[in-house]
Amino acid sequence: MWHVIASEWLKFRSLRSNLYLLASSLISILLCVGVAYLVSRGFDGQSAEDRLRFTSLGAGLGTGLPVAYFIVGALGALSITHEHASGQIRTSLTVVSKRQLLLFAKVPALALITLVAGQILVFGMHFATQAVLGDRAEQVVGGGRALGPSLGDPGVAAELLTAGAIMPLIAMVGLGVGALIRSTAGSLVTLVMILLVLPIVSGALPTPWRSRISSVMIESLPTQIASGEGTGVFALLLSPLAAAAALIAYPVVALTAGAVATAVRGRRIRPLVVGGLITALLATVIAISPGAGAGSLAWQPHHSSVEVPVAT
Amino acid sequence: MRYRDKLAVDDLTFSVKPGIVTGFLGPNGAGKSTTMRMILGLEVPDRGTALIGGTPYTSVKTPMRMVGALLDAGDVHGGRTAAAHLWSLARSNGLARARVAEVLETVGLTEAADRRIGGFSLGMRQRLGIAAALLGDPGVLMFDEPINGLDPEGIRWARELMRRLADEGRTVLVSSHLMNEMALTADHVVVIGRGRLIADTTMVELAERYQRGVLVRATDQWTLTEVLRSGGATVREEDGALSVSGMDAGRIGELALARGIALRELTPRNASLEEAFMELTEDSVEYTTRRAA
Repeated sequence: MWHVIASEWLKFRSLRSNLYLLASSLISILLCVGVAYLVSRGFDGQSAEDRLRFTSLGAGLGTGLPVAYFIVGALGALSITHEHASGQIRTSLTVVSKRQLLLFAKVPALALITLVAGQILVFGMHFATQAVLGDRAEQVVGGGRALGPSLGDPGVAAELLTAGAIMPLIAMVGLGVGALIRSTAGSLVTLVMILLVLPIVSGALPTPWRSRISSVMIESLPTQIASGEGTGVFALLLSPLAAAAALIAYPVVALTAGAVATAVRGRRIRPLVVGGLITALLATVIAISPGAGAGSLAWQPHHSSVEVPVAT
Repeated sequence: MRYRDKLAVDDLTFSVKPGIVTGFLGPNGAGKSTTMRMILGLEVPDRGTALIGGTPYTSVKTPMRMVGALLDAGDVHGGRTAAAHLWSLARSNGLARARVAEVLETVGLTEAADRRIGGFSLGMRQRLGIAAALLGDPGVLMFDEPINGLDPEGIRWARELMRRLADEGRTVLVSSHLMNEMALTADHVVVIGRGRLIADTTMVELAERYQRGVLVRATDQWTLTEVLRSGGATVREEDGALSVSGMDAGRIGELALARGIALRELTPRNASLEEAFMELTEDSVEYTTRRAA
């Protein structure tokens, strides 16, 4: 088993396209810079009173994070769809004839790389936002939070670490989707749906469903885990434990689907049962875990008064 | 083994012995590659088993040490260098890194070790695939159409390599749709057509089976015909010569000498293996057509 894991590490490392893709994830930091710049310009043009109506940029991840998630997910998907596209998969399965082993041996290398890359990215996004905001970061805006809370402020470091730590899980989602769909284009479209489109669609649902569905979307889970606090449409519905269970359910479901699709026909029951049981366990945790104060969520006054500032 | 409704390989049983090169022949679509994929566990037969040294391939922990296989030289990621590709394969089976340089040397790709496979010619890819098969120094080797894309020098090299591997006591199975090539490489042939076994025999036997009598020219052909017929042979005239069957060349010579007839030509005629192959596979087509009717 260790041999196969080491081999997958070599395979990942020896493809230049993986390095390019990792490098392209820096776009997420640029996006944060761009948003922070626009907010700064708008902020400067407002009176002191109006400035109070700005929304805090939080840890500074906002716009960049979904992009970073997508690139990391793509990295996971490509690690298997590349093999299908080139035919390398047949060579790989000839030298490692245990199919599940080949699939899961990709996990450690992917996890390690995306964990490191993820932490670099989220801290990069945070510091880039801070740098662009400059002195404005400390100014108090709507809800009594600073425009750009610094690393020392409560919850910020935890949110960053959580958001970064989630990257490997997103990569696993990508790997599972890739193993299931096999085509690069199809996998990437599916990832866009899961990571970018579904959160938007769920935000447009009618009320009880809007917050229920939104609260289990990947991008809303880090905040719920880190601070036990949801913002905006991702109003708090899940306890940190339930949010963590929901988050783990994503790669579990994706990898189960991938493992079942990878298995030789006639051997598909076992991965299906194992993955199904873990998913059921996680679903139970989400269901019985006390809904973290459904009563308190919508009435947090600072959230109800938030308005989106328009830079003029 | 079926693909949807198409029967690809049907009730095929043969075994491959060590120490010789076994040719695996059949026309395109006969099921050669499917059979090899089943042996390697890439396809699952509806029933029956493929065993290597008595064990199914997929239950072996480090398969590269037991079986080296080249199925399709194109089954590689073009973005890796030859050395990186081989090293990742070797690593998965716990093989030493030194093997990479060794096999590259064996197939003559040392110079190209650090070049990306994407830029390789088909011939170079074949050599790379052969190198990958040799990595684990396995006792069993399977090559699916290994000479495709090789230049004449490469074909000769591949032929010699296979003979050498067999001489070292390994089991070598080489598929091809070119009978003439196999005639030069293989000692034993397994011929299949439409997924069924047509012949499982030695090259020598196959050549004998398709012998077409002896061509004789003599000074006095009329007398010779009488002599041979009374000796039990069947004689036919053919373009001013005699086509003799049912008697070997040696006996014909002896009878002619006894009667003082001078022979001007005495040629045992074999059908070319190519013809033998065509005839063999033609039968299989007829057989399946009859069965379907």
